Amino acid sequence: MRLRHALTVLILLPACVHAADAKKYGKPLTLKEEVKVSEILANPDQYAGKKVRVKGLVTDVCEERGCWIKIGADKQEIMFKVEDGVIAFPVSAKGGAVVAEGTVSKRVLTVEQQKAMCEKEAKALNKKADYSKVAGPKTIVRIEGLGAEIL
Amino acid sequence: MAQEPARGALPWRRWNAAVHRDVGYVSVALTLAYAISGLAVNHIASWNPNYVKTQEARQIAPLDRAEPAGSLIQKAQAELRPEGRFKSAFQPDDDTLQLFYDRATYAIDLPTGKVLVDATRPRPVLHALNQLHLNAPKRLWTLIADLYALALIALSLTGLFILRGPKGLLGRGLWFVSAGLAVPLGYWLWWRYLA
Repeated sequence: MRLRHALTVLILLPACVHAADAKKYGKPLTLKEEVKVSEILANPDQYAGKKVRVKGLVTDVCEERGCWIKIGADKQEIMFKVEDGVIAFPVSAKGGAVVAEGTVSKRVLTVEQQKAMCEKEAKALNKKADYSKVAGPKTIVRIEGLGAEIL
Repeated sequence: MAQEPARGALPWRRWNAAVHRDVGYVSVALTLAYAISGLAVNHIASWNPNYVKTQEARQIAPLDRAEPAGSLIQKAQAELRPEGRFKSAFQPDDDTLQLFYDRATYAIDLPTGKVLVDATRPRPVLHALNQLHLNAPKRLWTLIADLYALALIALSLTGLFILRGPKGLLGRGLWFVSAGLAVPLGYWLWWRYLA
């Protein structure tokens, strides 16, 4: 518990740096109120289709196209997906404090859809399709990104 | 290489050849940049055209997750001696502590002390070319890329009218232009309706 609180403080410290140092991506941020990542993931139906502002750490970045980042906070992570070519996040953003805005999307993938995705991925990578991770319908909650500021 | 039109040629053909020649000169650098980057990005499924990624497994003494975060981080740093600037730390779950440095990410499994060091560095030259190709800088680069696209249109159109006679657009040129058109058109029709 102590560790979690201390880490939360540690995570939020970079966010206290003056906003002028932040690198801006995409559209300017407009919302004032922030929603916790854990709150969105716990109540996806409540937030689906709504525009939200979240704060956290960039814990991962798409290394191929820079078309997504993962935002971590409260021991949870959410994917922040942007349109290819509209925003390109650099790998150097990893570990930076981020404030981001976008629309929450919730999608439930059926077993058939997941298998089809496995096949598509396998074909693209010239590998054999691996269905071992397909176990029933899968809910994907992510933020369709509009803009972000990363320190 | 295009031939200079004869002295008796119509003035517009001279202008056409001059525009083709000079726009071509100006476009050489950007054409190479976009073409090289295009080749690299086309095969993105097979390799990462932007970054060289390295992973290394290391071992440190197990850490007690009940310890304060600051102490945990200090102990991990003392053993790992990471290079570069410390950026932040994150705990994705109870047993894992991630340390983010500007050159690498250290994922530490606290109970076992196993560490996965994940480092990425930009590929020389290619990373810069890809960034320009994907218009990462935005702002003025958007205008430059638009001008380059217009230059390519000008090059292709003026190129049609460089030569006259049997090797010009109404002779051999027509066959080559048709072949060039047939490839994308034919492929798209095949892909859309038959594949």
